[in-house]
Amino acid sequence: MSHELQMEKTSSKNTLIIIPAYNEEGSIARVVRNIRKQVTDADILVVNDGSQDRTARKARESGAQVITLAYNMGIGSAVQSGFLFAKEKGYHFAVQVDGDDQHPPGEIPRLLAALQNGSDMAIGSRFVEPTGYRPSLTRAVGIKIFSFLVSFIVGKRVYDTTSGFRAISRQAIVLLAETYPHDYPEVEALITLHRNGMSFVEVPVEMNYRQEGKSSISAKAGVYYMLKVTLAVLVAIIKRRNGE
Amino acid sequence: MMEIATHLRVIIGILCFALVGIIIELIRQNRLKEHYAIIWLLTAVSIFIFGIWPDTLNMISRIVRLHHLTTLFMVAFLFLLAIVLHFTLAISQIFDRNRRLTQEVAWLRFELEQLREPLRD
Repeated sequence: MSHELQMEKTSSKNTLIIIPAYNEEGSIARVVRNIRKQVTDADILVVNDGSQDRTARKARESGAQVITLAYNMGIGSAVQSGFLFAKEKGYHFAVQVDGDDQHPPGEIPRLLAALQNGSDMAIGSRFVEPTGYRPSLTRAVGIKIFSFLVSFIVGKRVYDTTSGFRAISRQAIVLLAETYPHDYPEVEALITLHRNGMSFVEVPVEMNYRQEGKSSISAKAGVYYMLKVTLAVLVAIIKRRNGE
Repeated sequence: MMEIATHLRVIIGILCFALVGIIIELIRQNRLKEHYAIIWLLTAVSIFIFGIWPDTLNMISRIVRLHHLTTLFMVAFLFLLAIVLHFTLAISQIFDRNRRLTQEVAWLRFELEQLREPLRD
């Protein structure tokens, strides 16, 4: 396994910002530049998830480090590749940001600040405070169901379980580098953290809604999404913990 | 006693030996992993047993109290179910390994590019 291989970090920075990107040549450079402008003391890693377009080159030109997956593996595996990278290179914190400009980089310092209180994950949340986000009816129902399920399991109110805008601690990096779902990973990852005795907090953020590209979840995939994630959550409760 | 015509038994016997022969040849040619061949060899053996000595099937029929034809379908169905489950397990394992491999290749390629970078100047 990978832990025998020790990699040298190329910079002295403690935080790695991970951007999974699949065919995002239109927006990736802007996303990377925005992040670099707003967050100076972090390295940026674009995980090129088997794109067919020039995502990798655009990302590299805008100053990000780029790793390229040999084929399109899905958002979960792409993000996990970033966690693996962060783990091997010894980063203390990792932040996950979408490659389509949805997540405001100005909020990254607030997410990281939330980890200072000992939490292992800070979720950029759309629903803790009223924001401009108006999901469609079906999506709103799904969001409510997961919120209810996760809240029930972890024993505290969790509003935004599907947000992909997150910062995690070293401990969580190590855990999620080993255990992370390959598709629709957000909800299940919360249960994984909880089951391994880690905590998470929600940080209210205002997001931008879909400038370029579509949601990774189409209407047709919605049913699969609901079934898969619900099953995954229920299974996660009875799954053995790491090392058990 | 259930009677099966002798020529039928011979055909079943030949089929089973052919199946075993094909499996062994596939292993020999490195096209089938021994691990997965076991379940196929078991299949051939079971068909052989049921075909040559149909009374074994009658015995099971008496135990589960079903008509012997129904028993035959039940046994075949359970066997196929086991094979499919076996394959799904194998695919899941291959999926996980493939995923980790691809991820490791990605950052090894990154490391390689980093190492080559200074040489270019």
